[in-house]
Amino acid sequence: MEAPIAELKNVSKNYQAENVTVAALQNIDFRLNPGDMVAFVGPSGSGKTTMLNLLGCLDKATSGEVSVCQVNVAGADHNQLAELRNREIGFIFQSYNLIPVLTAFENVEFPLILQGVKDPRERRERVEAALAEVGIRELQDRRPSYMSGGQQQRVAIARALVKKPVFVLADEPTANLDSKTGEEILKIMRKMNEEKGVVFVFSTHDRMVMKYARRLVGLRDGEIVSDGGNGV
Amino acid sequence: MSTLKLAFRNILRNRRRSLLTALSASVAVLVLVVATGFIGGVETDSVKSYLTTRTAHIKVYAAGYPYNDESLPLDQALSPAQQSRLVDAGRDVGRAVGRPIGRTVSGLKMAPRLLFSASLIKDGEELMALGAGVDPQADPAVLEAPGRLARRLTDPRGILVGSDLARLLHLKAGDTVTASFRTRPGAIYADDFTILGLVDSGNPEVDSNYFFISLGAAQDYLEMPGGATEWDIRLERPDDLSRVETALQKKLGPEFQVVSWRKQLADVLSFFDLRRKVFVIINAALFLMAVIIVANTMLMTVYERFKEIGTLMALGMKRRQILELFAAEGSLLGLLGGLAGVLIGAALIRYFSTHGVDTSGIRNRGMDINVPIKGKLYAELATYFYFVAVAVSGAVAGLAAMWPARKAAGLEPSEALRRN
Repeated sequence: MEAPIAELKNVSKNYQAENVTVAALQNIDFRLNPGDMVAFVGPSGSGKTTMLNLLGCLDKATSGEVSVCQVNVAGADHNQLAELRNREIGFIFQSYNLIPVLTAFENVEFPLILQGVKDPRERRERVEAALAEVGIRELQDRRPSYMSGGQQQRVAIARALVKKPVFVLADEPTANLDSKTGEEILKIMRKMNEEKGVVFVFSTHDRMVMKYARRLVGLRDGEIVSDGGNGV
Repeated sequence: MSTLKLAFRNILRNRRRSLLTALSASVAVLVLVVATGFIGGVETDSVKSYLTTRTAHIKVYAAGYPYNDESLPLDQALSPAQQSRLVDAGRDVGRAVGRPIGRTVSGLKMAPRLLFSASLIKDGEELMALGAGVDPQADPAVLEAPGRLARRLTDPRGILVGSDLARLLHLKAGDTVTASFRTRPGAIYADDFTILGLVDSGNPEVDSNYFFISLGAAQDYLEMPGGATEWDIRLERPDDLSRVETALQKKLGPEFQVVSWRKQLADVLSFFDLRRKVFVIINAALFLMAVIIVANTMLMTVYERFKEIGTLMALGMKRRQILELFAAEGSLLGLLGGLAGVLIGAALIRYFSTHGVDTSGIRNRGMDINVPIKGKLYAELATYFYFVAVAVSGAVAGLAAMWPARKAAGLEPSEALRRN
């Protein structure tokens, strides 16, 4: 059995909301495996985004063990987690979250600069290749405010993929897109999963995302209630 | 995309807000530049005015002579023998500090003066005045009041009167005025003198108090043959001041007091110092306002950009880099505002260093502005100060941004991404 990309062992996550403790996740065991294209599904408040936050090292578990790319998240400091996110994890957000003052090219180039890729020619080649892969190379000089939602999400995918991450986390990636554009975006991701082995992890309500995912993990009230292939 | 470039683009997002924020830095820097320019200009011109019209570089008195009050006692004057020693000592020290000019060596120039209290009376109107017996040949080389006019003092009954003093007594050149004074033995003497010219030195203190008479005539009237209350010394190189002061005092011994212009003007220099401190407080208050405005702007920026900060962290930006980004935005606001303030300030300084500000209107209304300069006040500012002002503005704004920047950098990525 191949080593997991990320693993959660008996993980719980509580949030403090004013004086009330809210249990977002309870006693979760989960393995993210190479080649996965997995979707966390479930109603609002079921813990989907919390799962993504833990896998993306954006948050730490209250108890249990989270390891990402062989790094024990609980024992890592802010800088180590920032480097882990920068090198190994891609993020795609529901609202795209592009930096508004940067062009599409610069948005995609930004993680490479953070990675310390110093050669501008290498950066240019990688950015142009990533933009070409999502089909918007001709828009590289536009700022996000001059692009449609679908175009922005493609830039976000290119930004996630340009650094060749071990896995990509996508939080409701189609929620702000029309169904046609959403499906185009999903096709791109599926193609990358199949051809390049890029691991995708979604959180979603969208049936179309569920259709394209190869593994569905059902969550309810912070617990995993199902985990299996979706038959696609 | 460097941090600075990203910071620059970020401050262009909300241009109006950035402009207003930078404006606060501009105002603080503008006031700093213009006020420093005027304070510096007025101080330089004031010292120059005192040096050339009243204090010279150094004065030498007999020990105990109260040079800082207006009593002008004649019984504490320098005797002819003391003056002879003084001239010898001056020559020696002058040689020591002098430098070759052509075939001669020049270090310092000296002239005796005999100061006494007097009254000038014209048409029943009497004003207290300060009489100065001056050597018509030697004095112009040391002091510019009366300067070359002193050469007119060939007639023992001729005097030169300060222009403001003359105005108060409605006198003009050629008029006759009665001078009354007490001789050294204590007798009251009064006689009529012809005004040979009016002294307009530019120093209101001199022009409204002094009249000048030849040293020989003064010695005769005051019954002080060969007497002088002080010797004034002008240095070829002002940098030699403390060296000459020390050397002269050492050579002359305790019978004499050698007083540099710095000691003579101790009260004035203290006033300059106080004025600078008051200005520093006022300017610090202005900078504090700018700090508050920059901090407020940056805090608003942080609140508006929580989600973006979360995104940057998700992309792998470290806390230190977030801190640097927001501090750079604050610094840039300060630098750009400071640059604008300096440019406007430099233009004003340039204008006022040439054209000056006319204070005659203020003086004509009888107001004393404590500046020994008549007419115009000129601004003056060293070029390096402009760079200092911009750097201070950038640094202060950068510091002001640190609190909001730390707030941004201290966010947890998941928390920042959750907020709108």
